[in-house]
Amino acid sequence: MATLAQWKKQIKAQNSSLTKMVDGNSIDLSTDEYNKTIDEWAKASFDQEVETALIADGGQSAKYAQYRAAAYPSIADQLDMQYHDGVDGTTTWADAIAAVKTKYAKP
Amino acid sequence: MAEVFLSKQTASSTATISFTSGIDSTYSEYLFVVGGMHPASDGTILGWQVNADGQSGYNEVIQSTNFYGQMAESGDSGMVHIGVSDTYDQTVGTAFQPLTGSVGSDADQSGSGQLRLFNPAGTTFNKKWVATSSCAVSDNTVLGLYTAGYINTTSAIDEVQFKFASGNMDSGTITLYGVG
Repeated sequence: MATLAQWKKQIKAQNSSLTKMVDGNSIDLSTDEYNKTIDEWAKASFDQEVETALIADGGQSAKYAQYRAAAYPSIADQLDMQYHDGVDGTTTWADAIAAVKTKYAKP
Repeated sequence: MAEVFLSKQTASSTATISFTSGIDSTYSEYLFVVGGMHPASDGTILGWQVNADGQSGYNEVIQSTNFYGQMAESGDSGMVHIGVSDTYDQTVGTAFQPLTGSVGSDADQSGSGQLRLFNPAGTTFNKKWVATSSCAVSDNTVLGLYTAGYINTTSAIDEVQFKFASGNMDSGTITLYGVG
C-alpha cells in the first residue's frame, strides 16, 4: 500500500499542470491551487486505498456498521437460512451473521 | 414548468468545473444535468459545493441525507444492496457533497445525474436541494443514488463547482438550466 507521500509524488508526476473550467473558459491552476489540488487528490486516493483494503480484508473501523450492513446476506437469503436451520438443525444463519460481525469489528 | 438552457461546460482533462454566472433570482429553481462524466482515476466520487454571495471558496455548510440501490453486473443476488451510507451524506459539513458513487474509469464507465437547487437567490431560508445519479462503479456494479438536503446559509448562492474527489474529469458535460 502506498504512503500519502508516494501518492502525492505519483499524482504530481501524472499531472505536471492542471486546468479548471470556469463558465466555459479553461484556465491553468495557480501554483497554490495546483498544490492544494494535488494534496486533496493524494489524500483521497490514500484514504480510498485504506478503505478498500479494510473492506476486503476486514478489521476495526468506526464505519463498522456501514460495512456490516453491506456485507450481510440479503433479507431473502437470511430468511432462507433460518428456514433451513429450523428444519435441519443447522446454524447457517447465525454463522453467517457472526462471520460478518467478526470481519468488521467495532473499535 | 419549462426548463431554459443557460450554459453548458465540457470537461477535457479538467480538475474542476465552476458556474460563476447565471445563478441569480431570475428562476426559482436551477437544474444542473451531468452527462457521462468520466474520471481519470478509477473509483472516485463526483461531488459539488457552492459559494455564497460575498464569500470566498466552495465551502458552505451542507446538511444532507441519502439512500441508494446497488446491483452487480453479474446479477449476483448477494451483491444487491439497498441502504443508506455515511459516504454520501454529511452533518453540517463543508466537504464536497457526493453526487455519484465511486465512478469507474474503464472506457465504458461514467457517472450521470442531476442536481436541483431551489431558490438560490433567496435570503430568508436555507437552500434546499435534491440530486439523483446513476453511475458505473469501479467494481462493475451500478449504483443509483438519491441525495437531498440543505445548504445552511440564508445568503444567496451564486456559484457552484463540481469535481471528482481525486483526479481529473477526463470527459463529460454539465448543463445548467433555469426552471420556472
